[in-house]
Amino acid sequence: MKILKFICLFSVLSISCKVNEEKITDTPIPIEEVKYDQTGVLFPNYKGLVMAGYQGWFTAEGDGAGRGWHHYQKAGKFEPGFASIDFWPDVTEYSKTYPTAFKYQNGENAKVYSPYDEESVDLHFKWMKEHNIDGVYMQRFVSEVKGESGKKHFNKVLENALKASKKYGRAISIMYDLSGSTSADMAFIMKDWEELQTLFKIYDNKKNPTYLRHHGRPLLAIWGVGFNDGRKYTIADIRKLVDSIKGPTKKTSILLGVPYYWRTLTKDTENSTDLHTLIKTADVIMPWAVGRYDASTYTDVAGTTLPGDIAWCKTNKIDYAPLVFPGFSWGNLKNDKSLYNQIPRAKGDFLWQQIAGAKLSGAEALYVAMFDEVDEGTAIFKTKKEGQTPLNGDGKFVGIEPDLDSDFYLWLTGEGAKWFHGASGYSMQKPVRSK
Amino acid sequence: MKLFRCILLLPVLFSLSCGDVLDKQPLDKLQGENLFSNPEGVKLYMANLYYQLPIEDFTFFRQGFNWNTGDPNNGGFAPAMVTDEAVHTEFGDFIGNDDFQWWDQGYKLIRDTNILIDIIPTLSVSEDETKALVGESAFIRAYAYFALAKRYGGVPLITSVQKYEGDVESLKVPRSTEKETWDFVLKECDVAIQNLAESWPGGERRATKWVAYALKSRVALHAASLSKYGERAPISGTAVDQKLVGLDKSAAAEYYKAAIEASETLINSGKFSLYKPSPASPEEAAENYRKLFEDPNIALNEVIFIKGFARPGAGTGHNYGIWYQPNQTANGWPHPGRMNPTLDLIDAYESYTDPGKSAPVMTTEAGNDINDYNGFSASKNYKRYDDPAGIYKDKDARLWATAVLPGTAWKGQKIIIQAGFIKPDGSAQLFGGEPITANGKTYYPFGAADRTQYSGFDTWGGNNTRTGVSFKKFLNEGVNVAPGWNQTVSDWADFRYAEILLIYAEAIVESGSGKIEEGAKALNDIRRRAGHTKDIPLTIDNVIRERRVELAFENKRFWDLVRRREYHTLFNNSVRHALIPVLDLRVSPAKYIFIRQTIQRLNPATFDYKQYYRYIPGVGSNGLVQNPQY
Amino acid sequence: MKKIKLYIPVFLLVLTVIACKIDNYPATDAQLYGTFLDAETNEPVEQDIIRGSTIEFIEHGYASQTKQVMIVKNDGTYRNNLIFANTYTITPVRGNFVPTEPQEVTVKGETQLDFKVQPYIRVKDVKIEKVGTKVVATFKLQQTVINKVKKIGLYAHPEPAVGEPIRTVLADQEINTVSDPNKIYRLEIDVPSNSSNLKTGNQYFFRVGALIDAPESKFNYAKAVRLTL
Repeated sequence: MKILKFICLFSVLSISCKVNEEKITDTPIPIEEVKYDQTGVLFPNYKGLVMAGYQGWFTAEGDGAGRGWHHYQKAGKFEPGFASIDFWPDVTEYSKTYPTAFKYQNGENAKVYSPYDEESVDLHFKWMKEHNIDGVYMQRFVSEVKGESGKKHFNKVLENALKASKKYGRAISIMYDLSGSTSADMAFIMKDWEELQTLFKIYDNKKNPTYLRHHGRPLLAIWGVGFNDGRKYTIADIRKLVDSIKGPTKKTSILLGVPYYWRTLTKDTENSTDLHTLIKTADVIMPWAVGRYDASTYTDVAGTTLPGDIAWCKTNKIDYAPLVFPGFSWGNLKNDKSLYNQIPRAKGDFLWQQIAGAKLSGAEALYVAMFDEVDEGTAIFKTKKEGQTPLNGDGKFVGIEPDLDSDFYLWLTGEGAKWFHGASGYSMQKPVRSK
Repeated sequence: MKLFRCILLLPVLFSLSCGDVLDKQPLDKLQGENLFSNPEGVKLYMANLYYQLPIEDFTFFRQGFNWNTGDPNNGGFAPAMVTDEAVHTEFGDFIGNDDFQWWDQGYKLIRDTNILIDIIPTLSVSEDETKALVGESAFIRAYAYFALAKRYGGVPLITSVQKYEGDVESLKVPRSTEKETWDFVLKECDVAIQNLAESWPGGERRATKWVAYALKSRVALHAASLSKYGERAPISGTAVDQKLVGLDKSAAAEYYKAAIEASETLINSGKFSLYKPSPASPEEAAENYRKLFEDPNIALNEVIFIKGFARPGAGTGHNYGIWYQPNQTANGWPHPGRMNPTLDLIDAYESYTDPGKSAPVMTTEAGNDINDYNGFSASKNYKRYDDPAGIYKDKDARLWATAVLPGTAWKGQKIIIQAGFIKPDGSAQLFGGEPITANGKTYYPFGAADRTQYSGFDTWGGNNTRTGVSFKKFLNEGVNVAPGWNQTVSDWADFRYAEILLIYAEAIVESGSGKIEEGAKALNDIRRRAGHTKDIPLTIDNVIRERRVELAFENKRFWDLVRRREYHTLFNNSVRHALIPVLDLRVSPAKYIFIRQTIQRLNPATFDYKQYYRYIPGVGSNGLVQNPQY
Repeated sequence: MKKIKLYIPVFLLVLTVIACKIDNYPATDAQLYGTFLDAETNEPVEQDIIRGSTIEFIEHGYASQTKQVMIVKNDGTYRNNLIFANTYTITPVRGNFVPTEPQEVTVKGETQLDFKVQPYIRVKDVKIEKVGTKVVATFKLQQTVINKVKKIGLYAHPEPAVGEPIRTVLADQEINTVSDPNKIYRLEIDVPSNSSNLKTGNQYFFRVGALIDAPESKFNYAKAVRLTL
């Protein structure tokens, strides 16, 4: 899980643990880089795209995944007082839904969806298309897919998504989330990635014309390197992982998910220049910004960080995708009512502030966190409004602002996408939705 | 030599406060049973801890505390002179990196207190006595850590005696965050509050429950302001990243709440009130206010905590009485007159005719030129006065009790402060030159022929005010202080009820919580004591102005500017100002006019962001993270 | 006088200490110099000589990691002729440009190190002239970051090092808004009402600056202009 809090940097790692730069002394044998057939490929480049992260980790009792109320539940129960979600998905348009133990004010049963169902994922991609959102990064949680049921679930969701992405012409890419992994898991990831390539023919331009490419190669994202929150794997592990995935033929482009202060190696970032060495071997970076600012501190924090990051990336010929998020809320997950709406959405002002900030600072692509994340309340997809959410014991569900349409955040993200695609008429001023 | 003196300080200090008893014992070892088995021993040990308390009294200035031993010559500097309250007659020193340090001394006091704290459980004394010891030592430690926190931010929290057992590294304690440090100080205040009695049987000047509440009010307001206003002066660096300096804005609410609760407890206790709260006239108000500082012991209902200066001599007297007399009442001391209150402060005092706002002194009939500091202009229509203090008429009584105004009486003399004259031909002769004769009379540039007969503007000796007024607060009008070191024995009021009322008012208005009407009452009670008759609303500007005038020269302004992060705005290449009285010979009889202008021979001063925190000494050996930009 | 007596021993002490230290070190043997350049235009980035952008440098090979600092001249250049040949970690900090990262630099002999930076604001199309009894400045602002512009100012001083920290007279304005690149900003100083600092017939330097609202930022400037009043 991508945790909001960043832990204070206490350990000042000395430079002695620096990996010795590999000094290649023997004559390198020229290796030809792999060339892919780009015919029919819809997204040859991440530049100009606005893509969201797709968790896809929810399941419902009876959906066939056999994982119970995964990521909805708390302490083994999904009933009033026991939920880890702050926002309740608006399932009006879903063809397959699941009744829960939650009830609305009027006594009606509250329902949820499961991404294990093809129909639900299809609907999500349909919304993306309706709102001009370019696509999603399918999250692949190493700690989950290591197990049998996790693998089954995430493969099914990916299958649903690949199918829907083709149907609606939306970009798709895979992102390994390394939270909870250990050094020993690197081998598993390599194996899993090989498996996925065979299983889904990800590199096949005919079978998967919507799979995102970058620099002429399919793009794989790896999230969670350089954080100083006590992870059980190292920058060197990721370096090896990246080298092995790319191979001598550089068969894959890599996006790295790094901490927000990756450039200065402060605050949430491990103080090791190895991170910079690693980043230089990648193709795109995406710094994790969730929780690093709110509306009032955004300009102070990001105003100088964004141009600094962009300049660094330009110098080092790396592409850069800043993250934007609509708000943050994890009161139920953390059992702490003060954390409801911890970073308020302000009817999209906060999201637009970041979209405009990124665009005006010179960013060329965006990562939106997230499409469907209701545990931490960053979802942009359709959710219930405040006042219309199910009851939740002595807690509550947060809900989006009551005077907004339930697809407002999809629409606003789409407006941002249009701006990034080159449309004119956008500025710092949040666009007004005409009906 | 300074270095030499510092080395001597320790034994001097012990001999001073511990007297004969300790002289008979080895001083390098504390023999717990011996010292503490005897109630007198505990008392003596405690006296020494109190002596070390960082009380910002008459002997405190930017180089340290208790500057009345060894060579007490500090040049006549006072903390007020690095603020907008005053300037020195002669020197323009502003805040240097080495100023306002208190590190080694701080940890010495903390160690000495920890020795006591560790030993309390082993003492065979009554439960009440144990409680008192627990409370007093917590109070002292709170006071000490407060002094550290406001200088350095987060500091190592050492809560028991460290023992050296061959490994230096194990003695190194890293800095806690600034938040943890302030929370620790507040927690220590609470321990003191819970354990201390309401008074001491003999009325001793020792910490009580109420003094602890007063300290807590001050601490909480300080922390609250830092939280609220820290972002006015952003800094960066490792210490910031690790939160060793800086408080989150979100912490402000809890700290303001703590300040409100602590000050409200004092207010509701019914134990305290303002000294002579309803004077019949501004004149009476001025006299009451003056007397309150001449001897705070006359107002034990207002004064919560006093530090005494018992008898003339090293370590027991101070030097306000010699440094700050107007030149005319020097009484043989070679360098008096050194505290010069500024026009910037004078302007802040309200006028009884238009209460509720600062009343900048209008010098011309047009009254539209208060920001013109360019000096005399023949084309201006200056207001003319027979009385050289006439321009101050209607100004708040406390100005009259804080400063010696031109032409007013002090120690039986008329204090003459004159910067020069406007000649009958309309040209100005200021700050010196030859006497002239006009209308058959001889006029002297500084108002008198002999340099013992005036108190302003002559640069000789650095003894004459260059701001237009001399200093009065704390000085004893009835005593001719002998011209030597440490001869003044007036006592210092460390906590006054008036400050508590102002803390209460500020915390309410700044947090937007608490009882607004009670806050307004606190503010207006103080003003009524100063002769005001019309109440003003509770606004932050009103509270801060009231703090400036009520607490002027009580060494609060420096920390107010620090905690509210206003120093860098107020002192940004800034000059301070004078109001110079000039005799206008264009009219007969001659009258006084006044000119607002920049203080002569004083360089502009600037306060850098980094100065909000002092540097931590000795990071090379103690391994601590240094504060930003040092 | 008492006062002088007091300070002389202190000065002596300080002098002695410094002298001892210098005696123990070998002489410096290298020079480091360079210019802050606008990464886009390659023009020097104007600075303040006091309280302006700072260059921090740490000499390698010492455990203490002591930060030393260099200041930058108004024209954006800096020079340190008293430096030891060695490897340094050098970082421009608290500047009027987007923060940059530390870099490792080997200093040996005459070493040039320019910093390519992104100035927060470019002060453009500046005109400063005397109009009647006023000095009037007009200019445009081109900001390169999304932050607000906090303040604009026109500063005057007899010396060419004029700027916000070094001025005897100023006309400034808090604007606290994102600047409009097409807007012409105007500031003026009235000469007669500053007669004690601006004397008719004398020459003064005038400089226009603007401050971005970012943590620890410094003013951006156009070049100073000399005018005879």
